[in-house]
Amino acid sequence: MTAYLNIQSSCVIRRQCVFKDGKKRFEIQLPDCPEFLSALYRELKTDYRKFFKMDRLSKLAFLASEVLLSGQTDRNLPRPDVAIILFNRSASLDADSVYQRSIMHPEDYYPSPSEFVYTLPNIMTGEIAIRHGIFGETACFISERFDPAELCRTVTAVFDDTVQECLCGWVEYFTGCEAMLFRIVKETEPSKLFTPENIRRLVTCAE
Amino acid sequence: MICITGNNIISSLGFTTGENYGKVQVGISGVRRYSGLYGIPEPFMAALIEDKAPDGANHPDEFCSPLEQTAILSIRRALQDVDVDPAHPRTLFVFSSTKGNVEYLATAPSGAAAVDNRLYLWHTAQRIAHHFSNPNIPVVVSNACISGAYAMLVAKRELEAGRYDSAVVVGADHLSKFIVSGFQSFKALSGGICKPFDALRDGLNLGEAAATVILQKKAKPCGGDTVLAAGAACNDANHISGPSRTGEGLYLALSRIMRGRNSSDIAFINAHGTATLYNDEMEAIALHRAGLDAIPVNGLKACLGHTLGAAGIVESIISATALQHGTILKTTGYSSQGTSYPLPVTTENIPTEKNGFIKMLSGFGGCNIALLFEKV
Repeated sequence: MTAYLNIQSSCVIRRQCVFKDGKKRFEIQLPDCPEFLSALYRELKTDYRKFFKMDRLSKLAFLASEVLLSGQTDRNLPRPDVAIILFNRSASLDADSVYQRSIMHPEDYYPSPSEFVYTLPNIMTGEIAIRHGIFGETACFISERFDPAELCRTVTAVFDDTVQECLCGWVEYFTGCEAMLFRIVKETEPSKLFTPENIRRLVTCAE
Repeated sequence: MICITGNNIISSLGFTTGENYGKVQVGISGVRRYSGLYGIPEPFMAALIEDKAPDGANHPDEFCSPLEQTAILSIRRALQDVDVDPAHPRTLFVFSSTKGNVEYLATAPSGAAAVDNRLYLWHTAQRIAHHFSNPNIPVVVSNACISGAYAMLVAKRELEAGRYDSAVVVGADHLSKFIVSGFQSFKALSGGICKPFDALRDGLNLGEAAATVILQKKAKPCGGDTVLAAGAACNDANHISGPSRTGEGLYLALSRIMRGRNSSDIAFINAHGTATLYNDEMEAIALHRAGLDAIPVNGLKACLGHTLGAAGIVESIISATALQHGTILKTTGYSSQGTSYPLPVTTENIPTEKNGFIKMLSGFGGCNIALLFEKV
């Protein structure tokens, strides 16, 4: 049987706006990114205390995944057949800068384990995996800029016979606050195919 | 088939694979005690590349950072004996690192870090690929401690998809105040040379390395090639920094690579073996659950330290070299059973006639990977 990779849904968070499947869902007029993330958490009526421990990159990735998956999945059902593949530009430089401040000055030297743990970009994939019981492949790639062709190539290669679904996209928090997340599912019929053109269209209609 | 045709390791133990293998084989450790280094108040044990530019190896590119230079040197040496043109459009570069040039954050003026390109991993990868005049955009993997092994899996898929004929996969991490202080804050560092899987293990040693494998797609491998036969990565979905109590992700990854295969062909399992209490325990649980707990297990970190984003590549190369020699290496630092599920951890170098080995690693973010290699 031929299998098709379809874009089941998308979420774009950009310039204080949240788009789902190309349509604007929320607009929160807060130019300060951390405040925006907290306001979006409240707006989504999320109840997840671990959110408040996360660094800003993980918060952004987590909220984008909530927009896509909240109410859509049974979180008690383990999902070894779901993968999470994320890209960004700055890795964890935002969390790195926070941690760096704690070790800069000999007279004020307090390296914090709870800050250090976020100095890896793939922690955001772990946070989403924990929230949704995702046991499949999780990975973080670093690129100078978002490239839909690179996304499609890399994620398509992840889909072997153990993978049914992949949450993938771009989550950047340092040179901006921007998330573009896609839920890609393997189906027997083609619908909105997972192609660079379709990804580009979903991303540009949110501009 | 995807074959490792060339390789190199630069580490605390030397600048060639041969030097590294020779020392690991007899249990020489590159781990030393450092006091006052990087301005860190507490002394620490680590396996550093002390002389980063020995004779004949100095400054391959003066515009590059020390990390980039070590990576370039490693690639050059890995390319020496193989027929691969690094400048060819059908050659892909894959770069793996956890922290790249993070030490420059300390000197970046406040607020200017965003414009210091040296801090970006994609920039480091481009520097390295440009040095070899490679025309493609390099792939950059940053997936905690499994990065190096995951970079090989990514390269394997790119080659299998037919987009490239060869891949240069390089992993590199240097130590700095940033990294050492972070692991100290976790109380994860041992005060002595680490003891993987041992009853008295009390933490890890960090290490520095740059390591390269040249992967090529071949219809028929030659003698001496090592084939990357299978790989799988899975998450624990449990905790961002603590190893899973059930070893779920690692168990799943092991099950996936062994599907349809016979474990009697596996000579040994080269574990992550960081020598922290919980990592080694988790690995024992995962191996037990996967029914692989009768296969000899070894760990190399008492010799090389935990080389972070390079570890998967460094330890795969040492293990592949051992397998080519028909040897299962001993686990330096190990003397007595220290996990609740017993494992046959090696204490001596043992001859073997089997043809396969498994490399496994786990990392922060709950990620785990298992790779299966076979010799030809």
